[in-house]
Amino acid sequence: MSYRISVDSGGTFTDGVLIDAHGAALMSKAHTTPHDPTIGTLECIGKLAAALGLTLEQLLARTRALVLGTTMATNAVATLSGANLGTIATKGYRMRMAFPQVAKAEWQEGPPDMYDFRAEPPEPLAAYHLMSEVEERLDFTGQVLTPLNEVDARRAARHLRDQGVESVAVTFLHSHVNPAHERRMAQILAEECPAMQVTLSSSVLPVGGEVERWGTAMFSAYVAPVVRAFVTRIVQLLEEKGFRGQLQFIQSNGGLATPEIVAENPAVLLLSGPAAGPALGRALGLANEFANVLSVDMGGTSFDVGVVHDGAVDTVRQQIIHGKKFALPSVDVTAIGAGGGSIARVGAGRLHVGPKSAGASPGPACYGRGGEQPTVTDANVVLGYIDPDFFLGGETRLRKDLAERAIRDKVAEPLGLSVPQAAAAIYEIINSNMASGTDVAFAKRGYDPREFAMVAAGGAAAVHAVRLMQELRIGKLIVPKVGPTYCAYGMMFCDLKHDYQRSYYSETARADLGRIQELFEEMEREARRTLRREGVAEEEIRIRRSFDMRYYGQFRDRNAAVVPGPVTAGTLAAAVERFHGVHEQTVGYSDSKYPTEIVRLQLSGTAAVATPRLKPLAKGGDAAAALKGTRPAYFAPQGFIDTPVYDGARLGSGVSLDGPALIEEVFTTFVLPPGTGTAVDDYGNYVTTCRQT
Amino acid sequence: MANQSRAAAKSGIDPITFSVVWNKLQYLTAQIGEKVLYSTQSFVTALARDLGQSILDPRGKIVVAASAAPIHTMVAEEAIKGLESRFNGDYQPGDFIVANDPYIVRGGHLPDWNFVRPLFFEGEHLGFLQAKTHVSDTGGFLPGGYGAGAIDIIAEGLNVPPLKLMKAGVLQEEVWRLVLRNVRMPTELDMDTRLINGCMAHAEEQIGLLCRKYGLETVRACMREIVAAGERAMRAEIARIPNGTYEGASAADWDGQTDQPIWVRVKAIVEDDSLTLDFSGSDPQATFVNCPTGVTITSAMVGLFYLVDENVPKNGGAMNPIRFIMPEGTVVNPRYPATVGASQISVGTQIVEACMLAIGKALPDRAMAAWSKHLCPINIGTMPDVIDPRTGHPRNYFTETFGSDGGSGAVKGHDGWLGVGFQSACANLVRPNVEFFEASCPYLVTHYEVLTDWEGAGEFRGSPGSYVRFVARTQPGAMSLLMTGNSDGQRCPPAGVAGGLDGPLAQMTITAPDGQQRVLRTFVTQPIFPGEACDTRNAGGGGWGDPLDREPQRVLKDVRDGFVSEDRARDVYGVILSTRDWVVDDPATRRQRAGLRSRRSAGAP
Repeated sequence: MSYRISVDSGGTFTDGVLIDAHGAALMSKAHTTPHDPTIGTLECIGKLAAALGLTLEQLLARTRALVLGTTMATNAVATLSGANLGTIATKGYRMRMAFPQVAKAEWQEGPPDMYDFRAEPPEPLAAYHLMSEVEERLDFTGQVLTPLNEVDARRAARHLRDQGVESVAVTFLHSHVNPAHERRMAQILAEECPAMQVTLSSSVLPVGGEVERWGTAMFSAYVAPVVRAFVTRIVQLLEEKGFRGQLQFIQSNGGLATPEIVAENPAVLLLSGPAAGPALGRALGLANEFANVLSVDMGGTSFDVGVVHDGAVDTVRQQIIHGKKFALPSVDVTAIGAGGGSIARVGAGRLHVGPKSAGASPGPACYGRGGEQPTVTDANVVLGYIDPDFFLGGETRLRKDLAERAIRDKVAEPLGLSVPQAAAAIYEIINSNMASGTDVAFAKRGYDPREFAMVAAGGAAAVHAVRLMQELRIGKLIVPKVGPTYCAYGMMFCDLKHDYQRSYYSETARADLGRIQELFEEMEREARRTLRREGVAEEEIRIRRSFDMRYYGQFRDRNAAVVPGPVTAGTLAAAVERFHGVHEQTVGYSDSKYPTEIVRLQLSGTAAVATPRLKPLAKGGDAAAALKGTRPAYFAPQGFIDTPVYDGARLGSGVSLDGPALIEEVFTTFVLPPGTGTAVDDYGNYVTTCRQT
Repeated sequence: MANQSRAAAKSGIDPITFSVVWNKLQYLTAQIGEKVLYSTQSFVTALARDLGQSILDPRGKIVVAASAAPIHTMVAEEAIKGLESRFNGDYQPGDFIVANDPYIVRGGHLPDWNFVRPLFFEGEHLGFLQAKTHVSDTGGFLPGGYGAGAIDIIAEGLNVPPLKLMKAGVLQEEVWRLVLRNVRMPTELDMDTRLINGCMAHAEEQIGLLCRKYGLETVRACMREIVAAGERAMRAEIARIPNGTYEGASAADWDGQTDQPIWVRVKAIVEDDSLTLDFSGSDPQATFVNCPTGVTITSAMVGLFYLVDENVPKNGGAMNPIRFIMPEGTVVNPRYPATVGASQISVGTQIVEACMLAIGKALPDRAMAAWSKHLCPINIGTMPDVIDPRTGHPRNYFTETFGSDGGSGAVKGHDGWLGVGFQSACANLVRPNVEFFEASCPYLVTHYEVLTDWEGAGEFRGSPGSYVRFVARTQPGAMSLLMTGNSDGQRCPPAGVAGGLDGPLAQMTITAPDGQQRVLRTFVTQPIFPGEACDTRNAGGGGWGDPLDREPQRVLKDVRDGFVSEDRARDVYGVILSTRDWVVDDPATRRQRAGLRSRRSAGAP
């Protein structure tokens, strides 16, 4: 029982990482199998077993902990392939969720130009004809204005059953204050349609604001059947194959949860895809004495920016998906439309790169699969950064001629540049876009990039990382050895974590401390109960309580943490103090005399999971031993320079290299421009320091 | 496009730097907006994203405008002209200017304030940062700016000519106290003003970094070239329109005083790559709905932007090929001291529609049908039992509730979008949570629904209409008013295009507990009494193309979704279907459509 394994099942690839009792790590990659993700997951573990000379069963029998990450919930929403979803709302509100809930400018999946309505109108996750309503009404204090009409309730239940609805979200107005009608509706549904999965808004998110609560309930109900089916099946399969260790899932909030807890609230997986990356960023940052880390993960279509601030991974209370709000806490990852597949085009004399991507199919022109649009990968091939004969370790051969043709036709000729100049322009623009997008994401939070170290991971990031750090004026860059399996690796560094929220609205000066305490205690009991079920000892549980606050009259709030322990006038005053500070930091002003209000209480319960201790790399001596040869690579303003190419696998710890240099890893190439240098740390990560002017 | 970029290269800037600078400036306008939206205390700004940011060059041409309320971005050039008339180029680093005077900055109604920070790098004047937004209050006889009936612009609210609120970073406290003394929510205005200045100062620093990296002259040249690119792109688009004169017209219900529709009429004269928009045929100035020229120009540009290629840069260059004829004394260019309270919504929307319909006639494949109008009574009142901690007095509320949003008009290939608001807001207007509204206001929203058969029919239909009912739970004796100066559409329906049908007319009524009903007109302010219910029914958007050409499967889905009734499917779309097994009866549909066509050619209605 000595191995720890994590498997991250993404959109295209499933990544696996194994760490043995000595801290030595292994990586594997398998194709994701969307129709049944358990197959890809087991295949990935099987590859790890094979690398150790074991059978799958032998490996599983010796595995102490297995952490799984899956984008299946995310993909179900992205590809609209979730449950046949029904909704039941308060009478008069059947179509509430069909109305827009965010500005078109915030609706990422729509046409980027604000005047462009030449697209199909967006529709909610439930078909309109499966949205129903029931007579009942509460006021905002929870008082019953109209009792639940049980005849109506049974009629709605039967209607949805007859339409073949598998999963239903019940969402009544003000149900977070008084859930009685929603709960009664659930009983009626259980009687009328026992096979239907039922999600209550008051259970998923007992917080005021129907847009957020209903939206979250709809997402939850939409993914519930697929998530539950996956969890049940993988638990059963692993048991059959002899796994006796602990199984955990990575959740959207960056914390782990056991299968039982996930099955109860499947929505916790909705945004779990990129959630574990920043945890690894945090660990690598802390190892290099950086408490502030910008974690970037650049793949084929998107550039995901996560932030570690003061040693903690930043989370947000809500995110927007398909124009609807999903309001369970999630790791704050900003996805910018920039990746290896980002398409370059010229419009009005301006070179645009992204946000459109050539995706996996047809992919970049150099893939030779019929893609005619020039992409960032094509530019990187032309610039000599990517060796067309050593892409994915030589698994795929790239067509440099096709890359050149696409760039010539679509960029070089329209701009009057040579092909290499045009490729350099694409490279420059995508770097600038990623930097600007990161700046906007930072500005919202009030952070200064100069106080951060950057951890750059994902297949495409290492090619761009040094230029990006220069753009952002970041002083320290870490390109992790495990970059291509970033999230899978990150899962090894996550804690068990569960979040709870309650609405509590009051001017701070008139706050009822007793009531606040009561609500916090209610959440704490729930957190402790859940963690105990996950096998955590009472003394290992850590509780974090916080207030969401705003100035009286504002419309959006900010989170201000309080010290653990009972809520007193003193701890509340400290929270207010902190709120003023956060406000000052994010928008540049605060006013300590201005009245504030509390809008929400948040509590999270966490328990640390032992993180792996990694085995240091052998000391590497001389870089010359790893030199594979040279090839021309383009560096502005000089142009093509004959550049040494190193085999990353043969660089030991402590080795330093100066640019220009190309360091080839199996899944990526680290590009070091002239005038920069890097050193390999004890664990094989490339650490680059940039002197800022 | 290729020629244009070579032109960029010829002007001496390398295309890479050019694109980097352009992207960066665009990002900076977005960044200012994100920060202000997050922290503002103005409910209109926070909830309706009633904010626009732009960067202008020293000549006052818009270089980049944020993807935000166009009425606050494209209007900036008129505003800078107003500033210039006052300051004549006398700016220093750290100056921060506020203004709202519709007869100087020409930006629309009084609550919409211009905030301008002249942009400097190492003492060199590089241009202007501009943001315009609907502030929490600006005085006047009613809060919020949408009260019809003011006798003149002085009664309508506080008129602020361009005022250097900060001179070289120093706040002019005395004059600011005078301003704040004359608005209802001084602390909110004060906080938001400081917020905007803070965000702009930060953006200025970042532009400074750009200048340091690429050189001041390069950044200047890029700014000039971005404007030029906008002009070239717009000229290319105009050149696609056949030469000729195209007319468009639309009317607002009335002005709240004289019971006549208010017409905007435009002649769009296309000559090669130039366009003249001649508004000479528009009605003489009225009250309340008059549009200062900034609103007129902006609204016309919005109408064009909906039709031209989406890649046309939305900047001052795109405005260069267009000549505006806006005779003084008409609703599109009023004389002092006419009131302007509704200008953005009405007559601004009519200007958008008139221009869009005129050009749409020339380019039917690009034409867009008109959207539903704005229909959303504002609630004003007092809650005697709730004390406002900012004032120590009973809480006054002023809030836009849940009026009915129809949606967008159809275009070729696509139906209109449900609930996206009115045309000049470009789907950036979003209704807040009913649960919060009910907690902050003595009203209960009992219905928030989609209407059946309220769309403009077409091969591609407009969005469906919508219905909202709210009931007053106000206390006897407490003031409670409904203000409808932001509402329109009871007289002039959203127009269909290319053979598509118009949407219906909007309706608003108030029903007393005893069942007595009265019409709630647009452009009035009137009390609502305890227990009374206000109903708003808004039209959907207009349709594109002949409804008899609509794919029957789309009609079937509309019936199933509850947007269209079975009767209307048969009578207007000519589709016969079964609601039992949800299938179209194809032969019966062909017969029905043939019958409707022959009756139509026989002159039947």
